[in-house]
Amino acid sequence: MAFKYYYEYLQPENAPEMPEDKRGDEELDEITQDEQRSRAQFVNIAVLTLTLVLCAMIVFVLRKNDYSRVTDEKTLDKDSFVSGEFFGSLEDDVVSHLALSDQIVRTDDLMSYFCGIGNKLMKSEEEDISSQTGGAFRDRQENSLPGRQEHNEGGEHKVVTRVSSDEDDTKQTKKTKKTKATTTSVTKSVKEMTSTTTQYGYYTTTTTKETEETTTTKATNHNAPSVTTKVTTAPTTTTTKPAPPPAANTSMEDAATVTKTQSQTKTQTQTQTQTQTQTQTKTQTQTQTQTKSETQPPADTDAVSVTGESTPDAPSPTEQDEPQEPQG
Amino acid sequence: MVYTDLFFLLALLPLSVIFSFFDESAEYKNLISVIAGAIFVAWGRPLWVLLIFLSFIFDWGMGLLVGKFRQSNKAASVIFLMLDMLWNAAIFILYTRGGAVHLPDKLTLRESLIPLAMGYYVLRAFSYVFDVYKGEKAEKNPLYLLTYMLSFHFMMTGPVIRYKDISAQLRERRTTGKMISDGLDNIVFGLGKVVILAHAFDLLKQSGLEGGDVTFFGCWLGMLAFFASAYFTLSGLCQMSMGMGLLTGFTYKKNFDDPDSKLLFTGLVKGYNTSVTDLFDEMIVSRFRYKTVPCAIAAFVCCMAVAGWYSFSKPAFLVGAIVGAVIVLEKLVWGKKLRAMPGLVRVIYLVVLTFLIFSVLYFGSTYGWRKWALGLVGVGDKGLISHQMKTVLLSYLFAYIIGVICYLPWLKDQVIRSVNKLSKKTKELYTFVNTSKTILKALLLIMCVAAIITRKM
Repeated sequence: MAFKYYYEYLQPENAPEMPEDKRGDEELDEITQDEQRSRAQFVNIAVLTLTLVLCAMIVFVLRKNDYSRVTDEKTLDKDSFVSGEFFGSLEDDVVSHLALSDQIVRTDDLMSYFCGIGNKLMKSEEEDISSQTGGAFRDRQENSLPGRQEHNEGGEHKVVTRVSSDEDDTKQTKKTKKTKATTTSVTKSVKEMTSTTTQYGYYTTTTTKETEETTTTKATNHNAPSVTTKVTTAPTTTTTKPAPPPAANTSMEDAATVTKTQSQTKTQTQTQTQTQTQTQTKTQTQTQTQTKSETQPPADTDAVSVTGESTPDAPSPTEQDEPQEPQG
Repeated sequence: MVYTDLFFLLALLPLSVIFSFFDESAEYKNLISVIAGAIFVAWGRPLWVLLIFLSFIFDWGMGLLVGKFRQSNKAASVIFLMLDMLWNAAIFILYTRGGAVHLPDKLTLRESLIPLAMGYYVLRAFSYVFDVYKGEKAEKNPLYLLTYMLSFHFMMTGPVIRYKDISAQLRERRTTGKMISDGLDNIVFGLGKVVILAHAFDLLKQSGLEGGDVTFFGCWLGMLAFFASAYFTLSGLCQMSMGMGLLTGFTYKKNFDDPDSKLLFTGLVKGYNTSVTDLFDEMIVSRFRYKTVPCAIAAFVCCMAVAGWYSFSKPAFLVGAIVGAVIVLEKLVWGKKLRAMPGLVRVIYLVVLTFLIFSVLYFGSTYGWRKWALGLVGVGDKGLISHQMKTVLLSYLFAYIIGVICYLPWLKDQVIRSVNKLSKKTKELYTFVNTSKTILKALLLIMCVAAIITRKM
């Protein structure tokens, strides 16, 4: 009974109907939306953090070796610490001792399907494209393009890291720099060729026709198209080689790459910093040959060069003076 | 160390963020930022930290002196300001433009891992003293200033944060869930821009401009890709920087404005790396703002200074001079008329000027530039498109489409609006859309890390 009176007290008879408060509903909607938003943010943070942790574990925890020795050559001492070589080699070491390196390469291949149609661009072609310097817009008579050199090393950002030249630099110095870049490319290619060949069996056939001065690069991989590029080298050699794998990133996308490239090839580039171009070219060719002898497939291994360079078996002094570039 | 290093991305950044959550006080967070920043700088060359500390002490002292004398002795404060400018210019030239001046080998750090940031570092350091000269309060607590100078999220490629804009946040800041979520998003998107988009455009540029044959589309798309690659590299790094700032409680404005044809060529130039252009504008042009001719001359000088800062080379100065001339002409002669013209005309005007002027940076010689410019109109072309370029275009087609969407503001807005509209329809759709976005971001992160590792193998 008491409830009855209470109810009447709240809603007496003949009382006007109270209007519904729309503000309450709006606020309720806002709260619901806020809740949804917060939930979405939480999921976002959780998923991205977990992904980051997973990546970090794959890179730093799952390793083929431990951290007691960073590399075969670099150990932590005063000199390597002060010069920064120790730190520079840490990342190389981490990358080279990844336990899941095959899976990462496969993941990268798989992911590249998201970038385009059919994933037709093989890594070897990427390498070819990346290693192109010069081309149709290059002035062969002047043989020097101040802006171009700067651009190839990374444009406005990498200019900062560039060891760049004074305007009065001689031709020889400029040539030296170009040769240096080529060497890096070649070394990386050969180095990477090892893993690609053994893992995936990519083979690249390089044929040079004397009359047309044309290099035909043909990859026998599942879906890679053949690419024809012209080279400046004297066309004397017929070569079959394993295709170079993931491209050495010489683009301007990333400053890390420049510094990385420098540090990766540090031991090699110590000789390259000498100003004598020919000596330097010899050194790099020798290094390349040594690496090749370790990585060559059992057959068809006469002379190998990603950039169309001839090996010491058939050297050409005039060619060695010029940076080896696909042209024409 | 740089933002795309594995050690930074997967170790230093997460650890510093985690450690900064252990205490709420700004002082503790600043300390973590300073330590992480010191590791960031010292990674390649540990002794570089000493230079940074030395520079910091000098700038801090100059700031105090300028602040002290700015009221009582104007001439003294100007002298101290000039001293600081010379000091920072010396660091800048010594460590980033070593090739431009004759220096002994021991003084030029040829294989250094840090110089990328030095241009921004010295600009930030000088901006502090300049702001003090202009009337801002000099910082007495060195830890705040050190945090500003050394934190890695201010370190790389901008935006050039001004101390006056950030000093309050250095004293008190909080990190919310939304900031962390947005910060992670920014880092992932920025990384994607640098690692995927910039790389894709770089390959397109190389296939178009560095191949053996001159082709019509090679000239157009190659140069377009050159600009896109530069844009995505810088804007990606800036976005990452902003994301890192959000993770540690800092907020600052974005560094790249959307292109707007109504602002003409002046707006296009100013909208690229705005924090840098604004600073130079304030230092050189601002005092002549209301006098037409002196303002035009100052704008020209400003363009030359910015060009010198970007790249200490002949092509850069040439481009700076041309850009300065165009800006002056827009200000004095044809600016008003052009603004009244239809949008299409303005867009054509912008595209033609951008192509013809900034391509000089790429070629650096008249021979290549002339050949390329003729190739744009079909003269000397050996076809429409090369085989290599076709292959690259197909292989990275989706990346290019995303790149175009990211750059064009109306297209980007359209996509964002339609996604938001879809998510607002029902509660389930909201959850579905947001979950999909998160999964895509996680995939993008994995993709970037895999790409970084594979390229370093």
